[in-house]
Amino acid sequence: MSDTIPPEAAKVRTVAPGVLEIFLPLPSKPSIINVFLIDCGSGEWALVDTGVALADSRAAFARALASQGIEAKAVTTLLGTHHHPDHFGASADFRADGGERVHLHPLEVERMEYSMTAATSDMIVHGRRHGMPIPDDVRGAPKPAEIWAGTFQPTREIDHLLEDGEVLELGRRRLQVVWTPGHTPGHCCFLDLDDRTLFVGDHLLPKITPHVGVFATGPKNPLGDFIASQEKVAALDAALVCPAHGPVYSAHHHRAHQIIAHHEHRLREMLDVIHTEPATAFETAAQVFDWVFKDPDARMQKGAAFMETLAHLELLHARGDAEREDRDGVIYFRASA
Amino acid sequence: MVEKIVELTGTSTSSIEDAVELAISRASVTIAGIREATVMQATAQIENGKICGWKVTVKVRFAIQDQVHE
Repeated sequence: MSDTIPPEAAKVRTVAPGVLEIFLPLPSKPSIINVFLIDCGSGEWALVDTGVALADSRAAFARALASQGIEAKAVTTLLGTHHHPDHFGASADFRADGGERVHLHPLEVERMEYSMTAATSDMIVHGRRHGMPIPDDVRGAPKPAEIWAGTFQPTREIDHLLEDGEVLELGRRRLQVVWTPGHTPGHCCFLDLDDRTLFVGDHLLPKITPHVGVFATGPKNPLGDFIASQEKVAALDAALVCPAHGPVYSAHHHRAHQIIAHHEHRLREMLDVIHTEPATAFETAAQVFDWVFKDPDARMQKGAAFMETLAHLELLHARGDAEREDRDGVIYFRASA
Repeated sequence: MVEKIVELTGTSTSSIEDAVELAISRASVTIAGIREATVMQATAQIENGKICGWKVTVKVRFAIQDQVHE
C-alpha cells in the first residue's frame, strides 16, 4: 500500500440512511472525488462512480470498504455518472473485484471509445479553426488516452445503457435516471425516489463549476444543453445533493440557478469582447480568462479555457446574439447588430 | 431592515451602461436581492485618441437576508 495517501483521503461517512460517502484521492485538482455506496438491502450495494485506477485510490477504496465491514463482491452494481477517469476510470477494477452490473449512458460509451482512440490531429485541426496558434511542426503532443494514462482503466462491457427517466430497481431502492447533458453528452444524475437523495456527479457541484467545452467532435452547443440540464435538475424534488466534489448540501434549486447566473455573466463578458471587433474563440478566451493566459505553467487550463469560451460563443450564436464568420477556414464571432 | 453595500468595478468596450450591467451580473451570481447600484465613477479608456472602453465603479446595495432553519 502506498504511503503517499493523505489520511483524509480514506475517510468514509454516512450522509443519509444507507448511503456512505467515500473520499478518494486524485492526482490533480480537485484533489478528492466523492464516490457513494448505496445499501440496496440483502447485503448488496450500488456504487456511484469509481475514482481513478491509480493504486492510491484503489487502496483507499479497499480500506473504506474494510472499515465498514463490506466485502468488495457485495458491491454488485456500478452507476456511472459519466466516463471521465475520476468517475469511471476504475470500472475494470470494479469488475475484477466481483462487480456484476455496469450502468452508463450510451453517449458516454461513445465518448469513452473516442477518448481511447482519438488522435492528436483532431484537436490540432479544431484549435486552428478557432484561432489557436499551433506551430506547423508541432510534435510530441500527447493523445487524449496518453494524458489520462494510468488513471483510466475502464471496462468496455456495459450491461445496461441508461435512459432518461427510467427507474432502476436496485433491491429495495428505486433510483430514477436524470439525463443531464452538458459537462459530457451522456452525463446522468440519479434520484432516490424514496429518500429524495440526488447523486449529481459533476453536474451540480457546490463550490466549483464543471468544465463545459466544445471538443473536436461531439455536441456543438453543450452550454445550451448544460443550462437546460440545470433547469431540469432545479425542478426536481430532492432533499440532499451528493456531489462528486465538495460537501453534500441541500439547496439544489439555489445552486442550479447560481450556476446559470455564472454562465449568463460569462456570456455577457464575451459578448462585450466581440462587440466592437470580431474575434476568434482563442482571442476571446485570452481576454475573458486572462489570468489563465498570463500563467506560463497553465497549458492544460488554456486549452480548457479555449473550449469553454467556444461553448459560450456557440450558445450566443444559437441564441442569435452573435454571428459566425469563416475567414479562410478560421471562425470569427461578432456580436449581432 | 439593514442593507449592505459592496463596491465593484466593471469594464466594457461599448458603454457605461454595459460596464454597469457586467458588474451587476457578476455580483448577482453570489448576491441575492440587489436593489440599487450607484455609479460612483466612470472612466473612459483611451487608445489612439479614441474611446476604446469604459470602466465604472459602482456601489451595489442589497438587503441582508437571514436564513431561518425550518
